[in-house]
Amino acid sequence: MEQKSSKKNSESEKEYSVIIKNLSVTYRTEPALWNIDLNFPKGQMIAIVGPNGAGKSTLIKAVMGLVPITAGKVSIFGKTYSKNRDKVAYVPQRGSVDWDFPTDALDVVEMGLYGKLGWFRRPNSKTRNLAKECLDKVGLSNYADRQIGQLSGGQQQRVFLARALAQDAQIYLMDEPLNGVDVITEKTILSILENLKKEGKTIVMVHHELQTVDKYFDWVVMVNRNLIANGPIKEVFTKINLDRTYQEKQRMSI
Amino acid sequence: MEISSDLIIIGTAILVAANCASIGVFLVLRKMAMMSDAISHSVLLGIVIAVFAVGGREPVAVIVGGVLSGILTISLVELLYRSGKLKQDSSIGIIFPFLFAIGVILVTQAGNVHIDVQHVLYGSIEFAPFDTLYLDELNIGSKSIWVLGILAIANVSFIVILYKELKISTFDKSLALSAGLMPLLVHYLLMIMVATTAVVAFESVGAILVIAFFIVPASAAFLLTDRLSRMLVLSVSLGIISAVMGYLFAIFADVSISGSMATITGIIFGLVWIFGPNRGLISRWRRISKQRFEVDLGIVLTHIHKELGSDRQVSTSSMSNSLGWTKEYSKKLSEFIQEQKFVEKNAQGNFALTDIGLKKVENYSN
Repeated sequence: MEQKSSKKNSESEKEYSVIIKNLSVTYRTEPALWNIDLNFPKGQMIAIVGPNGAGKSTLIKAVMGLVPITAGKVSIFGKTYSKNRDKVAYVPQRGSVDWDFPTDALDVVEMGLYGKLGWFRRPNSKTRNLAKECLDKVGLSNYADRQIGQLSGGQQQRVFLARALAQDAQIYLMDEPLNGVDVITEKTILSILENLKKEGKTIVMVHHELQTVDKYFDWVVMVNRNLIANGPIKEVFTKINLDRTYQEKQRMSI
Repeated sequence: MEISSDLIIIGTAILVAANCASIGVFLVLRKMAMMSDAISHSVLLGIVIAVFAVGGREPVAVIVGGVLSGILTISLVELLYRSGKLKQDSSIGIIFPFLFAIGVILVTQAGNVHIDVQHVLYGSIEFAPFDTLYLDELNIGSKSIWVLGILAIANVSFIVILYKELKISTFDKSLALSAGLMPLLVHYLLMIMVATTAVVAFESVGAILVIAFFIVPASAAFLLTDRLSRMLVLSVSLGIISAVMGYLFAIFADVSISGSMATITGIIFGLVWIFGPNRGLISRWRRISKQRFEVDLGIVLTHIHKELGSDRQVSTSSMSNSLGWTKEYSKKLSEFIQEQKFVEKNAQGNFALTDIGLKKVENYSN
């Protein structure tokens, strides 16, 4: 395992937005993630790569407590997730919701603000306008009142991104937002993320296409139940590490 | 207070429909239709136990018993399908007949308390006018209207106050969870409302027909709109229309009131499914055939363009040959493309593309 030279604790909190220590997640007795130590540096585009079933989605879900953690700790800017949940925005896989749901694009974006509103408080003209702005940023202001099932796959993905933008977070956790989208969507998403990065925000993306990792990202996390490598692309995105990440699985499944 | 018994029965029916159809929207959207079936049956067990415990049909005891057995049903179903290989539908199919069956056994033992299987299955809305509430010996009117009215206020408040929470936890549970809006709590609150509604509605329309009011109007509304708020309004409206029409039909034909009402919900759903403006069978069929026609139009024009480009002639009959379409369909298409001035026919009956037609071909090839 490669780690950057260790820093003093106080410094590391300034430098890292997410600190994961000894994280293990098991589904029943099946380990999905095993003893992971990992930090996400601020202001970086971070790719999580690994074979199918390697625990990539589980890793970002574990950060938000969406899956129960078997052991270990996750801290977001030095606090637990439940104390800092407004600092994290999540873009789930497109298939995770029912697109036949009776709602439109603008409404879905506005749902990103429900957490900030808290219990019982209703969406208002302010949240509506904010949602409109975010929908505009992803180039979908003309589709605001379109039922979400009538959007293309790429447009649906952009609606999800707009929803995350509405959350105005410091950390964006995204589960394969570029999977199977059109060129315009890919460009839109990347340029928005580039801007977020410039504002010092942390972007963590589960990513499938290995060819584009060094083009789009600054930092890579290579995972296959265990953490294989974690660091700047130039240092750790090597053939040896790739082989270790993608062969481990085959050996296990034999 | 003297109100005609017809009005009390219709009022009871309208309130049952409104209660079930509003909360039913969330059952339909959460794909929990079968769960409401399970709950509306297994509440019998709780009701019977409550009747035994207090020695009569005390409304509060009955509701508490019913809600508890509803929650027991949900918990057991979830326990079964989370613990092993069983799917949710099988788990439901195991749990609710079991709880319902115990209830049926207990009912047949209940010689001394007023409750029988007939009443459980089909309800007794006919008797609503005779069951009155007393407050310090003062007759304050029909019990069913009071109980269902209070329930309606509870259901509407629940949906209005927790509208945002219900919407987000139904649409995207993980977003709700990550935002701290506790979807599991919302889920159980919803289930409590479902169980309460089932128990109360059960008295009027019986176990079998409660499900019709939970699921059918909401499903029809789902086919009619793309907005959750409108779906709620439509579902309640369709439920009320079914109740009123069902009552009128029952009086006219002298048949079971609750049976007629549930039948009307099915008929209304069928009409929406066939004639619905966007998602109805006919409009879908029309849309598909229109799209199909548009595709075929593109094929024909591209075909003519290609053939002319290689100095071959195209006529209606050569079209049907080379594209493998029937003579009638080729004739229909060739008449259409002439009407639209995409092509002109020369003296020999062969087609030539017009400028408009040429543009259309270019559109297709882009």
